[in-house]
Amino acid sequence: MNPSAEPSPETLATLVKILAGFNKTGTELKPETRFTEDLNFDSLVVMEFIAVVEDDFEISVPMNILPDVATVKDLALAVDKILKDDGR
Amino acid sequence: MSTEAQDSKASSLRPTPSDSPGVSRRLADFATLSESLDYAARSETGMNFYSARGLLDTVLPYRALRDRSEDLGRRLAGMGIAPGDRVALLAATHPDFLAMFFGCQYAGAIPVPMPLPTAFGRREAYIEQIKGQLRSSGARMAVGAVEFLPLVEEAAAGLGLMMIGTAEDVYNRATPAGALPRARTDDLSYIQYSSGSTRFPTGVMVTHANLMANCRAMTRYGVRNSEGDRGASWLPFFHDMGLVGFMLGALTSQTSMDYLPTEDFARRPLTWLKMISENGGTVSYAPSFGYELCARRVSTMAEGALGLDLSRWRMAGIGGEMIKPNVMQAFAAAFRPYGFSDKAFCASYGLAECVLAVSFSEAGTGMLLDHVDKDALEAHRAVPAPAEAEGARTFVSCGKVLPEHRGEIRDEEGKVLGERQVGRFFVQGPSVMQGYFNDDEATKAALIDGWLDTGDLAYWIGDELVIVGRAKDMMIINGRNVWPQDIEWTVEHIDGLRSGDSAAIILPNADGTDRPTVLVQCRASSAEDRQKLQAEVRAKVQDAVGILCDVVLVPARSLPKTTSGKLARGRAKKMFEAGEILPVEASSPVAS
Repeated sequence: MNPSAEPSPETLATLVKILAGFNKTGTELKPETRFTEDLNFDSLVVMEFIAVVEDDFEISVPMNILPDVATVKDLALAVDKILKDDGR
Repeated sequence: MSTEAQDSKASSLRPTPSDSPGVSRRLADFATLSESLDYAARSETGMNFYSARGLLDTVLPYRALRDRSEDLGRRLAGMGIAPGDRVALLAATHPDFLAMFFGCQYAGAIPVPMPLPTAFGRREAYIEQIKGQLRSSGARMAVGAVEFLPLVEEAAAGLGLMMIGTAEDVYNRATPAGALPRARTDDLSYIQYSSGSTRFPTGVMVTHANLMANCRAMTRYGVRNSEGDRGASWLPFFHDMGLVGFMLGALTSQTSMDYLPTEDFARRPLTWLKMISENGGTVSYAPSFGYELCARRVSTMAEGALGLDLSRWRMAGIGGEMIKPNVMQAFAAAFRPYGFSDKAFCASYGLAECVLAVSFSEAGTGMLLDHVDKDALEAHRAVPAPAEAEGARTFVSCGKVLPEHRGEIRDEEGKVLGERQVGRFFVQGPSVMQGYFNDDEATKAALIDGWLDTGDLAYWIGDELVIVGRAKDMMIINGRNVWPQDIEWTVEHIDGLRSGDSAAIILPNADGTDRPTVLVQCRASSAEDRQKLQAEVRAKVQDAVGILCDVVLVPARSLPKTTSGKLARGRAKKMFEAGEILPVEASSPVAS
């Protein structure tokens, strides 16, 4: 992910809202929050979470982005790109 | 494609039928895989690929698969792929993977299925895994979907592959060769990297004869495949249960298959059941956690809200990890309103080193539970205990060893044990692998006088096999094999730690599943530094190995060593369980 790019505030806010339901460690949710290290996401939780993200944004998240998405900000940027590619 | 376009496409497609009148089922009595595909191509049956929403995306009759594969085989030969060359294939649940896998069969090349990434932010770990398998197999070519190729290119850097591309690239770049080589039954059919650690991968070598022997035993005596049977699966093709059970086993019995990609199952587990319901699936398998995901998803819904008909699902197989009886019972209760019967549960046991299956419980009888005393179990005896007794452990019988195969349970001295004595399980028979590719040391350790050491601990009830855990170090977490060496290697590369500072061990949860735990020698004295170390170990292990583990800090120089200075992992575990190694103070409670 491009470190200098900034995600849209709406995308970020929506992701944080969704994440609250998955936040079992009580970690403060910030753009820098990391899915594995801070939130203890395993591969099953990742998929359950992605299902909710897909439903909420009405998008399809391709699996090949996973290895490059470490933080909430990374995911917000990826969602923005998917929305843009969809012409939204 | 818009949703409407997808809907209209789906509505015009018809899945392949379950039966093909006039073509009788032959159960894996073929010399080679290509011969079995030639026969399946006479039938109307085939494979159907569904999307996450449960819509039919692609229909691939065996006839079309044969034609496409044969053409790709000629093109592979035309590109200079010679018989015996290894071709790495990213194993997506997609027709291209199947066409390439069987294209290799026609070209006499050896396909090597490779995993896809499944977790957030594990780029480096994934690339290491692919690189290890490419290097170990000496693959000449790697083929996968276009979106994954940059990762493969990075993994293959410096390995000198002749091509990295998609199935379409193979089609476009090559001129088909005229003649195809003819595979023999004792030639290698494929190499599977399902066991072994990430850093030291071991590829299981399977011949056509091995594969046919296992498919034959499985379809005839385990599944009892007959007219009308139809399979459904979301299991990945880079594991033996998905690859052999629901791809090669289906093909060699001309059985129609309905597929849901693994990542779509994980996102929308109920789509699996919808697929079974709509097409009348009769046979489907999953590890316990697959059933657990469905039961969890449906628990929030009103009874009967789904409109499923699961009454034709006669074999709901369970395999791939220790079976959790309570999870299975919760699934049966949740789906009874939809016609599901717990008599459909079929526990089985197997491993890639024996192609796939070793034993099956009797179809249509449900799970046979065995409750045993926990203390006696530690003394290697499985003594029946009342189910409700404190400390009783419950196991599930995995049934009889398949015909033509033989099993033995032996103690540490190699003496063959009788009923209800716990020891190491060995198997012999026509499905046992040839060995690990280019790894004599690992092969010698696994194959002893014609017997395969499974590394699993088991006991007999009559002639039924009960698996209780693993004698080898490997852990199974949510169906994934995890090696303690990989965890330790990761931990010992953290600043301030060094080689021999950690021991990754498995402690049993109450339900018999594995709880990975890492003991770490800690030199820090402040509570703050200790907490920091604990958090860092957890994070690094999750990042590199992809599992959550408990981290227990222990005093410096407390972990036992062998005479040659290596970690004595087994002894470390025993000492920790006996309280001879105690955790250091002031470690914070670990969130889980």
